[in-house]
Amino acid sequence: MADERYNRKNPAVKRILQEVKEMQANPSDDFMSLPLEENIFEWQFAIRGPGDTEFEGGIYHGRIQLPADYPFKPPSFMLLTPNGRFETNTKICLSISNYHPEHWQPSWSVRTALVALIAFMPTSPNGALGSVDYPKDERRTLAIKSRETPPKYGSPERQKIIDEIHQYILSKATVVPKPLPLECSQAPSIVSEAHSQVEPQEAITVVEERSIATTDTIVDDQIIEETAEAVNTAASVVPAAAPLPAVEVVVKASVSGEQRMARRAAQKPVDDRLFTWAAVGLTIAIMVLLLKKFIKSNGYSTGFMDDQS
Amino acid sequence: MKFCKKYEEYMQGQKEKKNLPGVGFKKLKKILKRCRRNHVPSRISFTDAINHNCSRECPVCDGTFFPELLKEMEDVVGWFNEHAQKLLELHLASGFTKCLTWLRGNSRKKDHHGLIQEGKDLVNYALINAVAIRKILKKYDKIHESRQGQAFKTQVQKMRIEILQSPWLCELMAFHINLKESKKESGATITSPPPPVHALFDGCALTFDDGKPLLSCELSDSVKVDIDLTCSICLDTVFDPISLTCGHIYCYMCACSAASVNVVDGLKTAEATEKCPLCREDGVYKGAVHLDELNILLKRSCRDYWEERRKTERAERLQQAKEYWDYQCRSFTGI
Repeated sequence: MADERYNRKNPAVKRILQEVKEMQANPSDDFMSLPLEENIFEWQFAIRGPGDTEFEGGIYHGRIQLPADYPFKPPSFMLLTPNGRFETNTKICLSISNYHPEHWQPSWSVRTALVALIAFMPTSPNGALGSVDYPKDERRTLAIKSRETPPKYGSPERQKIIDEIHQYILSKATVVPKPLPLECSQAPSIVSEAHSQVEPQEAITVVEERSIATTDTIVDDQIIEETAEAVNTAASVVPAAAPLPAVEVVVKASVSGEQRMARRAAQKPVDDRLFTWAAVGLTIAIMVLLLKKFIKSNGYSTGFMDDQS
Repeated sequence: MKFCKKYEEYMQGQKEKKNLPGVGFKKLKKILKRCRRNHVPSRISFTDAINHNCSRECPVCDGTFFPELLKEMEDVVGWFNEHAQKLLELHLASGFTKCLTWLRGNSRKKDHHGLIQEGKDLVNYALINAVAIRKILKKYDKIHESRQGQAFKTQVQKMRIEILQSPWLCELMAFHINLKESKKESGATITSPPPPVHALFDGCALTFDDGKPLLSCELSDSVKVDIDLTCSICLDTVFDPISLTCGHIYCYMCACSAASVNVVDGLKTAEATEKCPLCREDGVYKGAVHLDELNILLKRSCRDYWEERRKTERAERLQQAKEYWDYQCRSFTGI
């Protein structure tokens, strides 16, 4: 019923509809995700906190934006519930998100991405973009709080989907393991013991974090440089299109295609004589064709002037 | 033991017709037997040392067993791929090419039944050799109590000389089903000959389990080969299927998009660093094989889907071709 609204000939839409069917046919207890009615490239999701961690029992909502050329480009993820591991209302940096398109595989899907997201929760952020590192007790408090009410976000339709997903996950999720009163009295001593034992490991961890942070800084610099290069490329293309306003739309539409072609052409120069002569011949033919086109488009007077010269 | 006899009978039967490369099953078994004989007496005297030594490696066997098996596997796969390709080219040839082929190969039997029999023989050959290789490796692991056989198998798959990994096997199975169906369509005028003695494989079938296409082939030895025909990129039945050198099957359009190349250029122009979307092996696009027989089979089996998909993809290819030639014009004129 709803499927008939969308343009089914678009391969991205076909792929997304297939994934929706598969999600509904095989629902999971750990997560649920639904696309918006009005825009199938916008999804709402909720994941259950992984077991045996401080996130256990928590219900974390988020939003997924699929690109127009999905599944050949990765989606972007944004978490809406405070969780102590990822920032809210900010796109997060993961190997499955659009921060790293080189790591994305077309055979991955929203399902695999959500499974990976659940697996990423207990890991150390190591200074990645969109990540935070709260203490464990604070994370547990946030987990308990996340069950009570879903976050308020977006339009009423989106909020309805969020509430629906929250109810589903709430019916599936386990209860948060609450600390007993007896353990409360013993907690300070246990914490102190753990602290004394873990102290040397913390030193090692600090060293590791510093080295990894340095690596992340280098990686971030590379990403920034790549972005700058992309911007420069786009900027250089635009002036070339300016002399021909009629062709401008076509040029903009196929910018990415041009980049691909340009790279391939640059990487494979052909020095053969035959190819050179063939290219010259083709060039002449194309010039003749363009000249004819030019004469026709500019009318009789231009043709007359050309005949004079 | 009985498989060895069966295999030897099969190879004898085949060698009468033509000189086929095969796995030297008997020879390899002899090597293993010699190795076992050498190890048994020394086990009595030094149990711990021998156990320790045995679980690691056996230099005598590794020196002769694996290189020989590797060479034989290469011969088998090479021969199989070559002949499968020839047979399929003969069947898929049309018009002038068919006439040329007919002029060249006069002595070859080109009637329907001959093609069926030849395809069946090739599939038989592939499967029986695959089973032989599997059994000899299992025996090796059993004698040496090691994992060398499995490690060897994994390495062989990486080198792409595993015969079940060959895209031509998939093509032959589709070819077999195609010919059987066209035989039914043309009527049962041809009388079937007596069944061959070594009919190991009971037949191929294209099934749709819950909408998922599956090409399956079953041996009487309870070995089964299943090939999933769902493209893992568009999550639909493959259209215009193409098999990368790692053995995974995709739609042609999906493979071109995954490799970031234009349809006009084709997969041959893909970069060596482009990876397979499933196994992430690089350099798999250059040797990709078009599975035309499989395409014909799918066209016949699910016609409505195929027609709809054809229209969609034709429009898309046309658009890509337009973009390509526009780019070419602009690059030549320098605008």
